Amino acid sequence: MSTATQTKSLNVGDTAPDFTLKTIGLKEISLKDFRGKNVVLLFYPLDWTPG
Amino acid sequence: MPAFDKRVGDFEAANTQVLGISTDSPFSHENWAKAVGISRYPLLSDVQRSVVKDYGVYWPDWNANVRATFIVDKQGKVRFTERYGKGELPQPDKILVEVKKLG
Repeated sequence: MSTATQTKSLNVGDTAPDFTLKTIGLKEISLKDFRGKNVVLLFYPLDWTPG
Repeated sequence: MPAFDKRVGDFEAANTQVLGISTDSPFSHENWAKAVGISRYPLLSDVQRSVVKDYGVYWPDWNANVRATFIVDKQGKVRFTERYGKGELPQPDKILVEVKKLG
């Protein structure tokens, strides 16, 4: 897929890039914290949008 | 995504963590989560837009990200991706089926 919205694409079979981000309460959460579990990443556009 | 919040127990039973990500601040997340009833999974803040760019979901028009779901397996590999158009939302039932395929 190549659309104007994409800077690069991440596809099935690729290693998921690790990240460390803050959540509510400013606690930090990293993707690698969940190694050994499956992880569902739900990217949503902005708070207050549907869903 | 309140629809996923209600189903967190089903995902946990399938050894799966649910994470929400947008470019909003943790303070915005806190207000939104309280307003719509999200309390069972974390909402993460990519205020630098670095993660949304790494995952190829950055949306320059809004300096935000498009709606998309990725499933990452126990070894850290991407096993499923789905992008959504206007008015489309991820369906917990469908995502749960995909997760269960991974065991």
